[in-house]
Amino acid sequence: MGEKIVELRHVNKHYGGVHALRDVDFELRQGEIHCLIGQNGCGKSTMIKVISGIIDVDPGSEVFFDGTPVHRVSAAFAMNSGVRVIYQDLSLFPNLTVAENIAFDRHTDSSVRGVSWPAIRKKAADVMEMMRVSIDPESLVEELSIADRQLVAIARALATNARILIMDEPTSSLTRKEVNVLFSIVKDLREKGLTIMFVSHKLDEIIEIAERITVMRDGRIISTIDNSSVDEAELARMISGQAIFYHQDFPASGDKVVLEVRDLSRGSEYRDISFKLHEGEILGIIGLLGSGRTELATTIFGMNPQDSGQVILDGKELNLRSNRDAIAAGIAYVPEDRLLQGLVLNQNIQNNVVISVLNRLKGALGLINSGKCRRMTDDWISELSIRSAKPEIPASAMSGGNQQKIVIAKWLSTNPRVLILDQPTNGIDVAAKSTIYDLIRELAGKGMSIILISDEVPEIYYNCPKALLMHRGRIIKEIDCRAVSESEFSRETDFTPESGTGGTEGPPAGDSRSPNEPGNSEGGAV
Amino acid sequence: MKEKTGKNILSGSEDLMLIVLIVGCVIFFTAMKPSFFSPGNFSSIARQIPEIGLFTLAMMIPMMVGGIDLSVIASANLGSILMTMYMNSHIEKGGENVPAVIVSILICAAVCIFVGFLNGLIVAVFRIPAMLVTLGMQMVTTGIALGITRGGTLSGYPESFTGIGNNAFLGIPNQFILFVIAAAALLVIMQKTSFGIKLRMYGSNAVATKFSGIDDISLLIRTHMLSGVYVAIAAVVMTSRLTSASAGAGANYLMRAILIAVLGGVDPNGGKGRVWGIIWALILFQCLATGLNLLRVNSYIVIALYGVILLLSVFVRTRRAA
Repeated sequence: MGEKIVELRHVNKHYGGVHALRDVDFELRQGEIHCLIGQNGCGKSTMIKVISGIIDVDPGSEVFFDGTPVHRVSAAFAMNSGVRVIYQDLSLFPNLTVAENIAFDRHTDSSVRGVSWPAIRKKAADVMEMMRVSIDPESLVEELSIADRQLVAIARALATNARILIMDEPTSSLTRKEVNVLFSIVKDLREKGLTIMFVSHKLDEIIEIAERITVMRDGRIISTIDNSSVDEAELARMISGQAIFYHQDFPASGDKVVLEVRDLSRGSEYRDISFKLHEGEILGIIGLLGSGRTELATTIFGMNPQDSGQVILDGKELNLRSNRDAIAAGIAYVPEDRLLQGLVLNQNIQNNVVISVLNRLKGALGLINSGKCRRMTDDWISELSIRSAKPEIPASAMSGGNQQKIVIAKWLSTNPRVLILDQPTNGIDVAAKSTIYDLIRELAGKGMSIILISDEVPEIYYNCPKALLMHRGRIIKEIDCRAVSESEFSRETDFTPESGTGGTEGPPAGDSRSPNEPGNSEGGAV
Repeated sequence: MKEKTGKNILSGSEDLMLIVLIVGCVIFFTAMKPSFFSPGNFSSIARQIPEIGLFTLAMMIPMMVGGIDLSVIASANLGSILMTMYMNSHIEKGGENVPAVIVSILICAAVCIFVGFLNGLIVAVFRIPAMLVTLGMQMVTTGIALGITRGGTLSGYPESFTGIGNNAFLGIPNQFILFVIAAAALLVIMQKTSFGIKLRMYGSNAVATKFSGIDDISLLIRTHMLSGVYVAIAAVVMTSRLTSASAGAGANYLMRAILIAVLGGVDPNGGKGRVWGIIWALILFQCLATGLNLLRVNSYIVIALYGVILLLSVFVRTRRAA
């Protein structure tokens, strides 16, 4: 095992009211593949930001690079130390070519000298050759498949003397086959001396690729272990701890169909979607990022009009011109990105709760009755037990779970019949997660019809009697969660053999441009 | 919790900071020039505040949604030219015709509100930054105004009109009373109407506000139309005080309005801004302008000084936000 290349000692980090890292001790050794694992909101992303110098740690924390204490890790310092992060969104320039993307950082640091196109192409070709990947350097990144873009992002990192490659959830939108390719390249890079930090919440993949595994929960490091000494079940136990108690306890749903979707299609986003949602039912939609799940949800919410097909509420076809029509019809949508789409962070909780129902809060002269607004907000705060919330505090001061409750309160004030929740527990700590689940069940118990969209197996399995599996814009399976075990469910929703299902549409599969020999995992170093 | 008290003290301290600066200014200029501290001087300040104040309020409204309006002065001049032409053609020289004055004021209001409507429509529907849209509108309205007047100056007003900007009621200049009413109305609109709340929410986060079911197109159009109302009031006050209308009147108000808005705590990125902050910033600015004038500081230096103040206040604001 190599030298310690990065070491954190007693690192703490507070964001507003959130204690994101608690007394973290962590080390990354030269030439290892180190996986960081934990649920959403456990502090994984904060760790990445600390190591890459995006955020400052609290006073009293100690950070070492190559054994030397670093007073303050700045982004430039991390860059010079060879830290390269590949975020989930890849941060590529879609309208530039592959070669330009790969060589981008090289020709930003060379002052005024002109751009040398042959040099750029050569650099790109060299890096791709080292990775043993063949992607046309002249093609535009926006034309590539997600998997190929991932490889371009890696190539871009390698083009500038990377020593530590950090990958944040690199497999979240890849099929199994593409994951295999990625892993073989990662192993290859390790052979060449690179240190790799791999962040994920997929256990099977972690077990497959990691040498050492660090488990995080609620901002703490639970343990760092050698891969050989654990199995999936034990990891799962460490990740969830005892804080969350999953159990299948579905409220009885009625027979009445509330919402029906018939043959809904929209461009390359999704196709031929049909399902029925009953009164008091929690219907699960499980699918990866890019499967069309969010596009479908926003269509039902009136923000993304379909090309064909119908959305029928209580037997009447809806003609939704905007989400105002959907809200008036009784449809509410808790969006995927809470911080951007769900909340106005700088404004107070009260405004965030009442924004959608301001017209109902008018008093004399059409002026807003602030007493009513306040009462309504107070009522929701106690109803949903939003801890430490007051109507006048900015939403940004609340923790993730409580923020999500504020978004839910906003929608509950509109008295919806159908509530769509898109990844509702993204970035929410474990304890808050189960209160969100309890809330969802309680609402369904009162007769509200709920669509729960997620890519987390337990979230769907334990909350939804019925789940639809969405892949490449289609519903490819309907699973009765009561009839299968969790591991069967997990296998059913894995995309290994059927990954070709939606081959007629969607982003180009890009097989022709994919890395040449997917199987060459153990190549010799050059 | 900590956050909350922090924010409250902050917004309180912003006002306090401006008030302290005002007091400091008054003491400094009085020490340098005792005539600064005289009823005559204060009444002159009270006479100057309304015009620039109304333009600043007109500027603040689109800034609250992260926009700006560079056409306020040009639009006011076009409105005031058409208003003057109507009065000239319907009222004989030296005559009096109150209904015609009212109609002409309504014409001015219609012009300014229509310009605001166009600004809002283009910003909202075509998603072009307000800075470019309103810059274009500034050129369009100035061009039309120059075409109508052939670059000249119009005048000839009945006393009922010139009184607005030159007479006083119980010793208080009329335009000052108008300004107080207009500012109070904006305070109510911002704090107590659904439009005002949506405006602030949209300014802070347009995406989340849209997801909440707010019609952003109508909101943006109404925002610029409301700004047009304040432009119209400013146009009437300015024309009445100057007793003339031309395409080039009030040219130096534009940058000052932006300066005072930022000084008063309006966040150019949207979502933040209070009428009270504007009022304190106005008083501070006018004390400063009058004092520098009394000390006979070179007017070119004064312009540079204004630039420094703008940069400083942007610097202080952004440092606090971080």
